[in-house]
Amino acid sequence: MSELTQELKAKIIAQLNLEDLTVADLDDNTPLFGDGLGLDSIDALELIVMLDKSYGIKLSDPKEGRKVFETIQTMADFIEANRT
Amino acid sequence: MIKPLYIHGMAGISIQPTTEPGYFFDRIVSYAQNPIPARDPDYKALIPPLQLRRMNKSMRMAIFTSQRALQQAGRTTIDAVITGTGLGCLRDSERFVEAILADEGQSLNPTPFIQSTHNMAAAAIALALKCNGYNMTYVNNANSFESALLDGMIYLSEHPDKTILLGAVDELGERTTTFWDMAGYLKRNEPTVPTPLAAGATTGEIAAEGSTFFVASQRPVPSSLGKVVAVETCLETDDSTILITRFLQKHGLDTSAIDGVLMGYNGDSRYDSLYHEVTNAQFAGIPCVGFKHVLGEYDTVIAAALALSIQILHEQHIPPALLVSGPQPQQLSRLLIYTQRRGKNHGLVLVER
Repeated sequence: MSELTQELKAKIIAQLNLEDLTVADLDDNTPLFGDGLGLDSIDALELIVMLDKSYGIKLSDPKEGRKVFETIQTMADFIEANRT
Repeated sequence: MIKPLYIHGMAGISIQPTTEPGYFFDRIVSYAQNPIPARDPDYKALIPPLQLRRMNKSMRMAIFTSQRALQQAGRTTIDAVITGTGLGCLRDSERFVEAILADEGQSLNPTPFIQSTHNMAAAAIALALKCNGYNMTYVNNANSFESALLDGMIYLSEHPDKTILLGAVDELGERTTTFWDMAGYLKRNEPTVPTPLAAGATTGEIAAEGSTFFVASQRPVPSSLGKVVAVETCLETDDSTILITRFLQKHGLDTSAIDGVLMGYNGDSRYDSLYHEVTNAQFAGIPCVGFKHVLGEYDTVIAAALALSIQILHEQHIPPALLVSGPQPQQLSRLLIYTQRRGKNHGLVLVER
């Protein structure tokens, strides 16, 4: 699981051009949206595309996305449970 | 009746260190490559990191130079944004099209799609400045900036109390540059900057990129840097000298009233003869200034030439590295810019102190 969270952090930094951050700066339980990393709706779309391209998981229910993208850890848990 | 457009602030990013304070082409950076990317300033100094992370290069360059121009003009707000770009946000356009091909239309990343449109720079500037006013982008190949300039003059004639941001931006794209090379547009044989002109010219152009923005209004103030008196474009012409003569006549001038000419020599032996003919026929003995041999070629490089002409009028001398022919003048009051690209898209701009 730790390997997956590290991989996810690297992918998120690259995909969202978080130029000032490194993998070490991201905590597994930091909220990705709102007061945490401060991501926005376009970032949410980028994360949906990333889940599809990297892990073969299609997110179609927006309500599900809100829970899945809460933190790095929730994303990793979801990927572990659903990856193809 | 279109009135002159006064410039109160300006800034440019190019392959030369034009963002350095006081830079006036006294030191020319040399290159031996083609294409040449623009020199990146410290964008974070003027653009918040959260906005910056999603911006492509043309957006970064446009926001940075527009902010710098506003700083020089002593303004924080603006009434309208008018831009010109030949190819817009080229890199995101390429990323978007490549993703369509690679994924067969599935799961496309939203950012390159959103930012693949030509008016992104003008939109990003308006968002950054919270400007809800007139916002227009002109995409007319190598006459894109001239079209924006003309629209700016018309807009200010109709809204004489307004102040506008006027500018141009073009960025390099990897795929597009490859296509240009395949089409024979690019210089392959020892591509260098400064690019040899006249007898040293070879076929092909040096592809580059850049952004130049101006703060302008119809009302002069003591700190105004100069004014644009007239602008004209012509897609094709059989005789550039007739085009120039008619342009000057339209504004009650002849060639003797011109103190210097900025010509678009770019070292491409196939087209530089156009400038030679004009110089010999109309401007013999008048200082001729080059700019593309140090800035490279891109659709809106004439915006950088306008900034250079304003600087020349202000400094009252021509940087020796840019003087192609003629003497160093005693006094400079009126300059003419003439450029074209690959024999088409002729542009003329008349600039005065």
